[in-house]
Amino acid sequence: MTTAAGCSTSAANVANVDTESGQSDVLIGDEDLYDDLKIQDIKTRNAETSGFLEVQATLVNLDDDTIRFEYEFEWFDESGFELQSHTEHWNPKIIYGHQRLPIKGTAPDGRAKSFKLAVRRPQEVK
Amino acid sequence: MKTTRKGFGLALTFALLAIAGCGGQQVTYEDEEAVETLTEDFGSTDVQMMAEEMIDDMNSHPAIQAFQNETKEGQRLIVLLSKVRNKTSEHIDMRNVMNSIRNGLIRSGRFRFAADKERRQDILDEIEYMESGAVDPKQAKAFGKQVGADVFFSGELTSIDKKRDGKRIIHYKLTLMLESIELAEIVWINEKEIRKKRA
Repeated sequence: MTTAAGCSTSAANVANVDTESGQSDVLIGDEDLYDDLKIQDIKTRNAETSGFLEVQATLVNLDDDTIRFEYEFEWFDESGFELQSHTEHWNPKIIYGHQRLPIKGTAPDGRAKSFKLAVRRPQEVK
Repeated sequence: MKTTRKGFGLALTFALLAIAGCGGQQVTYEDEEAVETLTEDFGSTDVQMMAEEMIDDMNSHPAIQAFQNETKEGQRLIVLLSKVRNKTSEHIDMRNVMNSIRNGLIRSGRFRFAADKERRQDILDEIEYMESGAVDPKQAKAFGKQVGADVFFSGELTSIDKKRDGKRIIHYKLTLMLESIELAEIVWINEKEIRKKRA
């Protein structure tokens, strides 16, 4: 079954979305980043084949300049416990000036009912 | 003579200080989920990015689901990890990359994996031992019950490496595929590309 959900913004840097069981968040972690990056839209659904929770959050770069950032998904079961995913990691990404960029994530298994998507400035291990 | 000894003594002191300095290098634990850019060579973040994308795609791709429905009445596919080639000029442990992907697929509950070819002899030896009479017959495992793989899971990693004036751009491409053993048909294929630059 496919479902979709809209999002509401509770603070300048957080957008909330109600998923099947529990509230999910998209969070822009750095203060200087949420002046330039806006969360425009969040869609969720259960994949037709697997039934796994899928998320698509669209970010918009309000600035003229290219922005480098990282994002990471975390997934939670219906009790709010975080699901272990060994491939969980910060993804490096580029968004060009005034570009709309969808970021997509798929839950690691069928237990995921909510998620957290965090966006931050690059914090590489060098 | 005294001056020479003094000079030798100073050199020795500096050498010892240098060695002590090396021994005193600071070591810290880092976030294993953080992006790693110590060098432009193939690294842990590349493995994580490639594994994540391949796992997500395999878990939800309609082509795999259709094959599963047509040939197995919707039952999960049994996969055998096959050849994985590293065609880059770097030494990369491709088994490690494929293990990450296999872990994610097994843990998702969407696929079953047959034991690796290299493990088969150990498994046969163990069943033979169980049938020797030494093991409680109720707990002994019998021949003829092993799973038969439906598809081979194989792939290759390639790279295009360009350098100029101290700059380097390296482009990695991982291609993975599932091939039906019975039909000799490619059931699913995907590519993940990563481009890195050393300025």
